[in-house]
Amino acid sequence: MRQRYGELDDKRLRVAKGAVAGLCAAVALAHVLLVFLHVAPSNPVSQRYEKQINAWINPYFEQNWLLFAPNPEPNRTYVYARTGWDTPDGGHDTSDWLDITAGDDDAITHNPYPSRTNQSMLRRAWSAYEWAHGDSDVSENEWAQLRAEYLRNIAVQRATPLSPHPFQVIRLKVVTEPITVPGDTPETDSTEPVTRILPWWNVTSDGS
Amino acid sequence: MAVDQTPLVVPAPAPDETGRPPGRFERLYGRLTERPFSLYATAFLRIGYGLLFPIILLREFPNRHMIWGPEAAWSADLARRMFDQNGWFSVLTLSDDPFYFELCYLAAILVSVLFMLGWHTRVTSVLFAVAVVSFYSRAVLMSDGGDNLMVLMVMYMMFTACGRRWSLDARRKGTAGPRPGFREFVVTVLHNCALFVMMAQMCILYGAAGLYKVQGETWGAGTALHYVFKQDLFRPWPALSDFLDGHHVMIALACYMTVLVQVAFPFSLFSKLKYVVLPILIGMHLGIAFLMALPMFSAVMVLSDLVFLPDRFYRWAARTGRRLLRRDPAPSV
Repeated sequence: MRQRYGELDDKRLRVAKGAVAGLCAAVALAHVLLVFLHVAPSNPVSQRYEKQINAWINPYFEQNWLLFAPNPEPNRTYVYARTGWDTPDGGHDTSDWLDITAGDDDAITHNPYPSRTNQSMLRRAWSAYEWAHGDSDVSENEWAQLRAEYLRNIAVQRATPLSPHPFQVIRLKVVTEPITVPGDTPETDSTEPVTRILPWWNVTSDGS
Repeated sequence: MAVDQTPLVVPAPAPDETGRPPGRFERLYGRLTERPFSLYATAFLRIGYGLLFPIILLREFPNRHMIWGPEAAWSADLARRMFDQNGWFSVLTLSDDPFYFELCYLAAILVSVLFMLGWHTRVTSVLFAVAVVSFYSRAVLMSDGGDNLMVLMVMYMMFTACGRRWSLDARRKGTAGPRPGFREFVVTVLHNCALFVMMAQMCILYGAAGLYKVQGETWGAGTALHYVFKQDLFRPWPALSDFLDGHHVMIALACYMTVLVQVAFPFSLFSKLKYVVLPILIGMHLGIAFLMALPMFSAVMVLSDLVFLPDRFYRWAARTGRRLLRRDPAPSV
């Protein structure tokens, strides 16, 4: 290496070093600035340079550090699945509501390092679905479509061992129960759980 | 492992030909280019990430097909459709062959161990980053903030000289002596810039986590942790969570402490106050690890916080550790 650069005279070497140092420092500072603008709440600067910020940040430097902010989730969520199948006489039959959350709660109790299949899988799949769909169950775009298929696949995986019969359709019931305000007893508590029932989804062998 | 015992000599900035003392710009330029800072800290982080990532893979080994395999609920097909949308990449979706998946899994563990040991660190750091990014992006809907931070930090680590201490590379090449030349200059500049970015990243993380909490009424009311303790998925010890939840004053103090420390973090780093804030943050993360069953999230956070400890701390810790291991009598000095 020394031989290769030995030919450079002192001045050219100084210029090369200055250029390297300047470039690296500029990239580092620009990166920090762009990450800051990506993380900070939307403001005139980040709105104006939205395209540039996204081009640099996405996807590899994507991040959000909400971490229980602005408020921790104020509800407990329980997900149930009902399976449906065709009967030989040409009719239809369905299962009861199958609890597909209970296994997660059991797996976490007294477990210092639970699996992410219990702690994150269904919870994050539901919040991602809810975030992409709002109150509607129509998938307006590819993002929403992906999340709906993901939620459906999890439900199918979890309902399969619980369902009394092989099934062709499945639907979900999501019960959101507000966590009581501290100090409230069940008697003084006026909050009611909210139940949302999703449409029937087809279960096909190719997962579509 | 070999530890550099030679005292670090920081060369005084050389006066230039004109003989005038270096100005502010020259001093800054000197700090950026003269020597790589925090070689022990980056080596420690290298060992840490190289250890934590395979622990995740081994922990989830029985569930690996459900999380990252071709047949996961988030199927390889869904993942590829998502990559079309957002530009992520994963080596795991290149083939749906189950054998290929198992091979990737083993390779990821192997690369992590080589990275941890510091074997041809520059190359293994790139492979390690590819592995971490691949597993993260393959199941991004099953990741937490710790996974996210690990992705960012291992990408920055590629640009550091994290293999210069406590590594097989260091054992082979030795740590002594300055290395002249243009190549060393580039390595030094890249390292120092990456180190700066890693530190800034942690400041942005805590600043954002704190400032977004300030906007939440439950943190202001001192009740936020009540809602956390009531989440079924984050209460591995229900009796303990309920016991703590019953102490409203303590909960409120902990809420305020959390927000204050997170917001204060970036500002504390310029003073000795960091030796107060860092232990509080680390204690907070240990609490999260145990009370909320999030050991890996907390471990990644704590490890990343340690980038701020100076090299003299790491050298002292290494000396103390080795003395305790050998049960040598304490030096009489």
